[in-house]
Amino acid sequence: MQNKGNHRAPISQKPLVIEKPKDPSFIGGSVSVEINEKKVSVPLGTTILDACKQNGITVPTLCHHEDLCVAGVCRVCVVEVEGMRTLQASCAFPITAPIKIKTSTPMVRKARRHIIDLMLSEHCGECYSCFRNGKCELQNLAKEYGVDNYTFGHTNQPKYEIDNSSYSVVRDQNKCVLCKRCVRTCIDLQEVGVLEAVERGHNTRISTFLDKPLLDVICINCGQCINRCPTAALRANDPSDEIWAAIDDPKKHVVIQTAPSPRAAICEEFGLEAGHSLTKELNTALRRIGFDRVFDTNTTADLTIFEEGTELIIRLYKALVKKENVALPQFTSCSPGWVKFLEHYYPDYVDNLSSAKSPQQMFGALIKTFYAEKAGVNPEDIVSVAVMPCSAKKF
Amino acid sequence: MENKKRKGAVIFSPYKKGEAIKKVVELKREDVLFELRESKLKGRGCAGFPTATKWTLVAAASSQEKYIVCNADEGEPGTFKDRVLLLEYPELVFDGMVIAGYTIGAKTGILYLRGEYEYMLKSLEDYLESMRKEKLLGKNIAGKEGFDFDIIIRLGSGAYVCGEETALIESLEGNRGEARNRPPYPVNTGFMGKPTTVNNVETFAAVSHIVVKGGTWYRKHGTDKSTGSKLFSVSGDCERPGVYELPWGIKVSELLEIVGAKDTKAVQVGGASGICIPKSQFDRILGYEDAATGGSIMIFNESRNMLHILKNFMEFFVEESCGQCTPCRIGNVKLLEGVEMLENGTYTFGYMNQLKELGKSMQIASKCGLGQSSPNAFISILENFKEEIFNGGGNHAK
Repeated sequence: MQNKGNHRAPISQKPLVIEKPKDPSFIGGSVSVEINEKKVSVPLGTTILDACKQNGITVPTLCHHEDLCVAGVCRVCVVEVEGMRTLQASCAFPITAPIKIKTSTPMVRKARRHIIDLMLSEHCGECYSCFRNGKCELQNLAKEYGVDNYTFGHTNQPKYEIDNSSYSVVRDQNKCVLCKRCVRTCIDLQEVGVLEAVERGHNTRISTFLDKPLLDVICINCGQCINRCPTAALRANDPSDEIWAAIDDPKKHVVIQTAPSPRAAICEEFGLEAGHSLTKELNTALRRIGFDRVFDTNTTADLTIFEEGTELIIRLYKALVKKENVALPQFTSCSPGWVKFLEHYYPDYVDNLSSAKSPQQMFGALIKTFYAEKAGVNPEDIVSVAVMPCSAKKF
Repeated sequence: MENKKRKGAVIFSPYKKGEAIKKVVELKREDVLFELRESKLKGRGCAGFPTATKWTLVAAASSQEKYIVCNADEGEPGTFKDRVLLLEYPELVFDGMVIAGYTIGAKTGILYLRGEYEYMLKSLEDYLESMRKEKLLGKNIAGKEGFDFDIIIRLGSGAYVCGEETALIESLEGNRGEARNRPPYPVNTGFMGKPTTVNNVETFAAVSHIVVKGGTWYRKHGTDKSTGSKLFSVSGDCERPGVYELPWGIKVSELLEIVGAKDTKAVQVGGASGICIPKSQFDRILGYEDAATGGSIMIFNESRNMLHILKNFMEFFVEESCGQCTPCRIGNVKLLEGVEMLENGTYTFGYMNQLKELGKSMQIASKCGLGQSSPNAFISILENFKEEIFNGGGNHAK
């Protein structure tokens, strides 16, 4: 199997390939530039944006994302470079010669305001009724640049139907600002590539193959696009209402299992330092919400290890002792996203997947059988909920 | 198809097929670049980048693989000079490409032909075949050992933005026609990531003449900053529309006289992305120092409504923006809405001024030349025809 790297991304979205001396102290290894009249020295090929960051100067960005290749399309990060007729996108401009940069001239600020205003004019709906309210990059930019009166109009009329066909990812293109982070995430980071821009000009939109609903294309439900979307155009499918309905139904016995990572991740919602585990607090909260039992997915993670381990030993025995033809190495099957990826892109390797269920699925099975019997509840009345770190688990 | 109206002293001067190729193989690469520098030839697409500088950069690049691309996308509204060159003088264009290949050290030339010019494909392919037979293409061209070069033709698919060199290269590579980030420039990261020079059809034609007749000869024509001649595609309200070869530095009024334009109200120089020159400025000269143009000259007489003209241009840009960067994708829509407000009389002066400011931001913040030049018409027409637009409204003239 050949490692594809990110060669599927168009050259336009790759940074300039410059032969950089390994040691920045070599001649030509670093360039002196002037940022806002401050003289600094940066390694050859550093982008203006990175040079600014390294020197404590903030430049606003939107389409730029540090995990992804450059796009240079939102134009929010434009800066003035002395001697150039037009403003330059700092995220896409590699420094190869001594230049003078100004990041906050009246011209630059005005252009940025105009750009944000233009985006808002087509960004459907109001912030107060949006789930990203308070956590939206576009909203933050608008606030920072004082863009608060919709100079070029505003729309409350949705143009596109919301695609909620997928088990995991909900797409609302009315909120899309065409930064293409999702496109780049899907093709470059995940090597899946179900999203791409189609049509042109004002009709440009992000689409799937033949405009099919997300459910019908080869999306692996990994949700990485959701993580990188700056607005509310992409979100995870939210089953809260169904869960509330089950909790409110006196006939239903509602249980929940929590995976280790969301137990830690949730701390960030409360302003704690990342990585701080809140297992007990979360358990208490879930009980107060009204769940009848709270389980720890770790239990079935152990079961999965037993299963997969046993399977591996059997495969090795067959291969090494009995000299049978079995698929090796054995791949884990714990992630539904990974399993779907393999099925679509490398179907020849499906036999290498372990046949064990993921911990989450194993727990689901246990709850409806072992636990139901033990607790004396009719399995039909049990509603099993899982708090998981990845949207693919919904698939 | 006879659509040229005046043959000038440079491009349309006598030239025999292969003449320049036979001469160039006797020269050293540096000598060709020297003649080009002497000629002060600038890119004929409109941007006016010195051809010698561009070729020197590509020639100096260390890559083994280099490409020559001839931009025959000719998408600017009102220009049709490349059509004439390709149909009637293919020898000038293709010889120019071979010279470029020799000078730069490229083995492959690509003619990016506008999708609408598909009807020319057969004759151009035939012409290339005849060049191969005469040893003007292929291996050891014109008997020069080791000089191999061939030309392939690729068709565009009708997007205006693909006339922008980096979008053109993306299109050649099979991607969406969208402009790349610059830098890097095509001279070091072009087609397939290799050093590439992209030149206009007319530039290559000029190069053929320069090689045969010399840079100093070329420089005698035109002005100091705009040397040589220019093919103007003249259309609109005049008696004799067509392709005219005229020396750079000619006044707008002189050109109008030559083509038989009467009662002229305005001249759009440089197509939809160009500027609109009103009667009061007809003594401006055509050249890189004043009104630069890729050759499109549209003439409007007194009966024309400037607002309708502007609306037409703005509709064009809304349609043709590639849609990747914000200022161009949404900005042009806002400018078009502004024009519609002017038509309906629902505008305010405050908002129109804001749109003009928006236009200025688009000029400096857009990603490529399309977005940067799309507000030109809006700004220049609003500025130069205030009287007509604001006092007469949309009903001043039909």
